[in-house]
Amino acid sequence: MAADETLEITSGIDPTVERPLGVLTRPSGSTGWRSWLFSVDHKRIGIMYGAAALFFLVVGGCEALLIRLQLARPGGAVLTADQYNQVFTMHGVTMIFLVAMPLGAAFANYLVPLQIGARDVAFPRLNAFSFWCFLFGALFINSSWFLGGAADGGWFAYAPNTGVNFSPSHGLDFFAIGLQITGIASLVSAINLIVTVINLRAPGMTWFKMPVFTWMLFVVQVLLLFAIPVFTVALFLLMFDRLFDANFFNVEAGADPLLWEHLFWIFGHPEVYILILPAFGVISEVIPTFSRKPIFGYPFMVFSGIAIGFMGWGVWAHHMFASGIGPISVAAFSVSTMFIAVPTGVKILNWVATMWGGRLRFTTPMLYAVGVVSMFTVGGLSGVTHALAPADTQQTDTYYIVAHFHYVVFGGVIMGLFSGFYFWWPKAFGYMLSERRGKQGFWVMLLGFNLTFGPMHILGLQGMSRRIQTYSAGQGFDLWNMVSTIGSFFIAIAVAMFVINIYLSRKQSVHLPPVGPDPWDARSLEWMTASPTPEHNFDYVPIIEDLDDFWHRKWGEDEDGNIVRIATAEEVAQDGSRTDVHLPSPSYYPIMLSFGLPIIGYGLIFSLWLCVLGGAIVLGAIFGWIMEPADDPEAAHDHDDHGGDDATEAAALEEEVNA
Amino acid sequence: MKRPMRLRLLVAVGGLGLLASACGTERPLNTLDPAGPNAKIIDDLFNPIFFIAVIVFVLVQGVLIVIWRKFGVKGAESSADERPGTYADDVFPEQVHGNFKLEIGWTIVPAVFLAIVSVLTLLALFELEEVEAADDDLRVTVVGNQWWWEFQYHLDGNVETAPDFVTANEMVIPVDVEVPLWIESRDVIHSFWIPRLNGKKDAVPGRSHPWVIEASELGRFAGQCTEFCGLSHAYMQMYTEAVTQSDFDAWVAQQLTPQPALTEGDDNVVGQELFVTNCSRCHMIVGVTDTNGDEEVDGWDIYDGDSKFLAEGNLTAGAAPNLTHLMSRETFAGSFFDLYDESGEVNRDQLEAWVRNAPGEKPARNENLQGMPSFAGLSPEDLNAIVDYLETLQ
Amino acid sequence: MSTTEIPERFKGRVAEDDHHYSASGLSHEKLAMWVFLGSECLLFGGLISTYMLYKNKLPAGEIGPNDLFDIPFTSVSSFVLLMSSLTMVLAVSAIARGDVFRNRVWLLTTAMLGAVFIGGQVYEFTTFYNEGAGFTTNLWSSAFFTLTGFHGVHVTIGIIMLMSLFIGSFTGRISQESAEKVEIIGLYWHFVDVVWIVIFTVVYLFPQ
Repeated sequence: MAADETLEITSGIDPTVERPLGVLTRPSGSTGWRSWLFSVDHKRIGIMYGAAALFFLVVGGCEALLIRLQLARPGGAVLTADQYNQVFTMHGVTMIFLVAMPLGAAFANYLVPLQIGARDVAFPRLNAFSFWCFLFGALFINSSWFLGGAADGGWFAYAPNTGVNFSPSHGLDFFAIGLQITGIASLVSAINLIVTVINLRAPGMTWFKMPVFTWMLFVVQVLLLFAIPVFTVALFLLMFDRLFDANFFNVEAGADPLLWEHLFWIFGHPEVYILILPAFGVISEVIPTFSRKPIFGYPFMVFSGIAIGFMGWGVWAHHMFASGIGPISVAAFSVSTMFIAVPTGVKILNWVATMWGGRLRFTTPMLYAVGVVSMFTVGGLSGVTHALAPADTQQTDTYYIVAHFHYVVFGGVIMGLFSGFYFWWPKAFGYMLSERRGKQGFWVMLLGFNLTFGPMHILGLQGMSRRIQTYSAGQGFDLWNMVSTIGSFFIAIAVAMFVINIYLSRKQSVHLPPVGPDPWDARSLEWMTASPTPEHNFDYVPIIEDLDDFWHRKWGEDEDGNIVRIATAEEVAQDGSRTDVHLPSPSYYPIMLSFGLPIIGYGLIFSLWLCVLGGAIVLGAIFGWIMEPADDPEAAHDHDDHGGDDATEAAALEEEVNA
Repeated sequence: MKRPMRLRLLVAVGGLGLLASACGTERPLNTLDPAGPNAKIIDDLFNPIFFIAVIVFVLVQGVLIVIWRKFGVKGAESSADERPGTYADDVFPEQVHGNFKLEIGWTIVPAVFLAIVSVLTLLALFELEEVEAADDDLRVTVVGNQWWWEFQYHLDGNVETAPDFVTANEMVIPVDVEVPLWIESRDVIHSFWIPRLNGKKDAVPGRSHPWVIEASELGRFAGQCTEFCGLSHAYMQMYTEAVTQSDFDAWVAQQLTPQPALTEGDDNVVGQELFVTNCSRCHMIVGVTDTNGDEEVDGWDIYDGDSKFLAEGNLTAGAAPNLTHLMSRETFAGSFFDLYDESGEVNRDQLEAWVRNAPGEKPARNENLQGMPSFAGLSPEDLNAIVDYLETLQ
Repeated sequence: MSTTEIPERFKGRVAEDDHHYSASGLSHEKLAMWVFLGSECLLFGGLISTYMLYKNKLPAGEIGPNDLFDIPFTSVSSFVLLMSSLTMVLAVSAIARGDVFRNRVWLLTTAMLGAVFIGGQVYEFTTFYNEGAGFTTNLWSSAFFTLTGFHGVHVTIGIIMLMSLFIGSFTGRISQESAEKVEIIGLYWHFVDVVWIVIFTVVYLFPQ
């Protein structure tokens, strides 16, 4: 397989090769829009995931502002009931599936291969497919706004309220099909990253020398692998009910609506950890770096993450304490839920212990990371009060729950990932985001966040139900709703400040010296290569000797046990100058294949002829994908070397499609 | 400085919240103001744990503040506004990699604490499950509908037979008596919740969920459907009124009396006829004849309570609130509107508006047989007559 | 491997040859298939649970399994599918030995046996439909057709992949060096068979 090593090809330049009939020449070039559209580079895909997720963050944020405007005062008339139901449903769907999950995927894609010293993921083309599949699925769901109205059943979509009788618009069809498409994206991505982490760790990087971030992302992929199919089954049944008159949630035929609740939450609870663990991973990198200490209790950090991953499967029915599952089930799930607080608590305490005794630099990423420790604790503590099943019958479906999970997903996930943005921005783009503006943004966000969601604790305990379009004066909800609405605009300002910071920092960066490979004196491998990361990641794949290997290359101990510098980052880091690394070539087929899926989706909803068209695109793309020259010079190298065997995956995908 | 300020703010917010929880009259749905033994059990479980959670919260934030003040390196980042760079010096703190005993400790201590909390939780849970009422004591079947509640009273406790009488949106119970409930639904999932009396229980179509309700003080206790149930979810409210046993007996006696059918010569007989023509398809009034003129509209067996929709998609009597003794209630249309104003006069404008164009008052998809249809086609005189008639349903 | 000399400062701390590295020893493709099949377990798990739940909730008087199932017939077609696992093993071992011809024969046989099974399923579905149990008829029928149909789609995809290998063996894409391709698709095929054993037991053999 290593026969043609003398070919001097930089990535992407395609030599003339014999190719089977009907198969396009692989696209080439590393600049311009084509280089993004057809890229199979995990870093570009990661950046595209991030950009798409930020776009949807703005969309979902606008939906949130509409909700808050509507609820600012009793009897609000900003939105009708119908519009309100669509907006709050799509706010949830967007924030969870189109913001938090792809942001996790963005960080996973960009950083996991770098942190384990790999050149790319195991299946670069499948990786591109995952992204486009996600993006087209996301656009597909959002296109429902213009095609008769969006889903109006809540993100949890409890049957039978999601039946055609009760939700006659096509919104829920878009929901069911669109989330199956994004589900394919997540599943494929999960398989890809699991194989990447298992197979492509650099020599010497044993499991327990992997950074905590990579560990957490690995756990996330395993959770996705098992959670997504359960959700797919649920959506599948819903789709069959809505489009083909099946009886899965038809109560008059004897169906049990709790089936949906169980399927949904068996997926839905692991999903919570799918959202939060990437953020835990991020701050587990940020806190040690800015404390100048190693992470406190690495094994505990890893095992608590794994424990959360396992226990996350045994607590789903705590979302159903009021649903009538019977006292024995309630008791069992109440106790299991109680104990999932333990590994989470261990993490919080270990982060605190990492900071304790350190030399802390409160840079923007560090501020956000400390913000997570502080704010997630609030969400964790209110979570314990939900685990008291009898008390939960008072709290569930009130704003107390809304407060709880926003402290978890905003205070935890969003702030954690913002920490990651500030931390890894120089690595990805070669310039730093302004610290001054970053810190200002942090304080505005922290203020806005607490103003928005803090009062919801009070509202919930005072009995304000979730998902209500309006409330009357005289229920005692007026004041805190107004405060909350005002707070939400501070969050909007904070997000705007982040976007402005990107723009201005980029503009100003030309006058600043280059950031160098390691602007923060960081610890993990991604800082050992140039910034921005060269396309081939590493000139030479490092041999790993320690946890935090890069840091140990920079710093050592003298005979008194004091830390002394062995080398500067520039001396240790690779400069990315190597030009003879063979990389997988870009490909047309991932984007083409994923483009076919939403067309099939439109076909299912509107006209079966579109299904034929979409199916033809999908089949053509799979054919091209499989036939893409297996003896492509690039394919003889690196990870694409069994080109034809992508057929297996392609076929597996096809099966998802057919399903 | 910002951090302590924020903390003070949070403490202030929390304090205000607790303060607010004390004044129950202004907060009809307050979960922290129990008025019955079940809500009390829940409150007694929640309060200490919530208090401990607040302490843990303060401790964690306190430790973070200490870390901030004590371990923050001043100026390490200040010199480089746009370019923070690395530490200015090569000074390192002690490189602690962990402390096994400490970590085992903070794994086990919370686990033990949570084990204790679990025991308390289970005790409360099973205490709530206990039903003390005898088999032949009053039972009420609570049926969720889009977007109102029906209460079927079984005075003999036998829920298998037809109820003794049916009312809507306002459930009256005797004080200090535990009333077992069966929670059901006719369309989508709703959730029955009177926060000051007990937690909530979902009303799931096709299932019957046991629940109990008991008030230890007299009064009207507000409730709200808390499971998202479609367009008018926000407009689906209810009340439970706890009265003395003698008042309850009097109320039951009134509810058991059929509404007298008006005969020729009565002022409101036109209104009654219009009601039978336009409304009796869905609304029952015990004692009044239906459109055919030969059958009473109280025929419980017409409507077996299973489904709002007949096979051909038509509605049937009982698909909407039972209006027998309507004016004995204080609210209508999912308890969202008051039947009387503050001076005790009938809230006639609201009632007329409702009869004329219900979907304009409370969102509903009429084409899907949801909610009350618009009667915009009625002449003002007819409308007047119907509302006049409704007012006679004392 | 590399054409450029490793700079002095990296000597000994970077890999001399970073190509074709697999920490687990399994190829990416084979590992991916195992991981994918893990996910599939949950997919079928969800559908089988749905069927189990609804099988017992069928209202009295509705047409159901007792009126329709022809156990001997389905047993035979199940046996055919199981036999195809055997021929799949033979196909894998043939290509591992480099015996392209026998590989071809066994691949085709496996695909044919799979097709017989699918034919049996089509016959069964048609019969059930004619006896009055369509997809939308009742709770049980929706669950039954979804579960078994979903499995049938899996078998069909398997057949398509086997036929692709069969055709590929004539164009020289399948050879001893690429025996792993056959093995990976074999993994999928065995999985689908094993799932059928579970479905057959749960759906046809468990007392109704």
